[in-house]
Amino acid sequence: MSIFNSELIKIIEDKDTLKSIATVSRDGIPHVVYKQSLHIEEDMVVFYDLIQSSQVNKNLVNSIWFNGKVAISILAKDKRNFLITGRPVKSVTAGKNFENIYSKLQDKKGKEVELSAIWYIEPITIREETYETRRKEEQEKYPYIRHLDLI
Amino acid sequence: MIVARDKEWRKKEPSLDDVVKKYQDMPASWILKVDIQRRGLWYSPNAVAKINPAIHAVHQDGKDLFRNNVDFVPEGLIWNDGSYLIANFDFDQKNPARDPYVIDYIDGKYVIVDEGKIVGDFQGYWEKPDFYNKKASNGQPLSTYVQARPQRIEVSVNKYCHFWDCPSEGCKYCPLTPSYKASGATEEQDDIKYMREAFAEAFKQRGRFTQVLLTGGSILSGKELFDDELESYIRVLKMIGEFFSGKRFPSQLISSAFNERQLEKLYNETGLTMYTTDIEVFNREKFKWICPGKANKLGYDEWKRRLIASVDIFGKGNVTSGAVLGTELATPNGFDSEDEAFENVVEEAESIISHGIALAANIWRPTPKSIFQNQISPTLDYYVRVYREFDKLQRKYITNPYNDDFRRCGAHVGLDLMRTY
Repeated sequence: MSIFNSELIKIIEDKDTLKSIATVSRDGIPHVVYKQSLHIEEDMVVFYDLIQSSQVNKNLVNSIWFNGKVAISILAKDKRNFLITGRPVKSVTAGKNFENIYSKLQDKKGKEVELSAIWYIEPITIREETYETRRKEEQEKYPYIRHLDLI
Repeated sequence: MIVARDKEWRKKEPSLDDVVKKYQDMPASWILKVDIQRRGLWYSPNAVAKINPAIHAVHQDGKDLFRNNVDFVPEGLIWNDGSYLIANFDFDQKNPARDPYVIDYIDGKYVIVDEGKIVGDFQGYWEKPDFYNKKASNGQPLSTYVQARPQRIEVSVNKYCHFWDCPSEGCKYCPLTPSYKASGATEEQDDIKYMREAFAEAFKQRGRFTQVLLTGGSILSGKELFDDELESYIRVLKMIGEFFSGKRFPSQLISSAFNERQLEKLYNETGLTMYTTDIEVFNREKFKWICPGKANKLGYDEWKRRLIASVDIFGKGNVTSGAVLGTELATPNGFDSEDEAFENVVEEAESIISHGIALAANIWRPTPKSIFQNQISPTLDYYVRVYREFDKLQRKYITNPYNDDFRRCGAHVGLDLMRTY
């Protein structure tokens, strides 16, 4: 059974959804970047890195080498948001699949666009982070961590 | 099944596990790559069944003089981190010093096995470029003239190294010229017309190549030493340059150590962006013993001086130097211990890296047909220890991490470590 439900897949694939990925450098410095190419393929989070010298590329290499984790934040146009944690497991940098994506990206975005790598992230956890959902969860689980005037 | 000539070899050196535990700041998957290069690899029947010559680049044409057998092995592997590992290298398959790793295909995954245990996995075999399916106008496969790695297109301009004109002067680790002689080949260079046809076809493939590489054996003749070698490279680089609209194109030349006049001519007359001349051995005395031709015709100090001088012409970060790491411990004239070798090699390496020159050091495998063929290469611990130190120096002196990097070569794994700079 897929870790992603069909509703989340639909949200992720909506062009109006904002999708960001947070990684950590070799020196422990966090880095967040938006990746609108992010989508789901066979239970993996997949996105394209277009710049070989990008910090996200360096951080993902460091993560795949040392079993590090990444966080992916999904913000739907209706303001619902989700957090996916996962680990990078594959980086495709050559081959027919790479060349097909390279051509498609150029056809869509113009000849100046490069493709450095296709990254595959294996999801570990998925959690809805929408404020209203989280507020209700907390209220049910910890009913007394509130200001007194709200009791 | 290939079995080591010394059945006790595992008891005499640290294991892969030992080294991974010792160097926890080094990627375990990278350490495995180092050890595969050191020990060699072989294929299970399941792994062989996955080799498809219609899709994969396999060793079938016998043109690569670094491998003697025409046995359809994959030219290379793609690691999960997107880096490449060349797999067509030769090692002693009859009586190797150590057991090779075994490639297998289990439960839908390509895996690496040692003593029956899975020690790693990888994405798959290198795919061949489209032009490998086509022929030149003379009916020969285009792959006869130009070869490819996953993102690099390359040509071996001179197939014979003239340091071997005097047989006792060839580099002792190198099988290229002995293999050339054994093959019965007579043409040292291919016709540029067919190279052009191969490049024309190759450049049609979108997204396949990021760099052109030229290399080959040394040519000593000319008005000055290496002048004829220089002219042979200029001729091919000019031909390739016709395919690009700008003056320069991503390219690398690995050649003999040219003097300043030759380097300026090379830079000014071609679109070359990156120059490499291999120092081979990080010690003057060992170089003299291991590379006698280079030592006699030019000498270690002059080779090194020219390497460093090339930075002024090609620019800091656009020069690298290769070595056959581990030969400094060959017997009988190598260093007596790995500790002694480590101290000497690192000190000498810093004197080169400090000029902004990254070291593309390859792992020495005593290769069949080379003079050193029956020797034993150093331990895995030695290689990881040395590469780790090179990496620290390269970070300190900020060498360019995007030339000669993981996606260009697939042989000198030490430069993979630059990916997080």
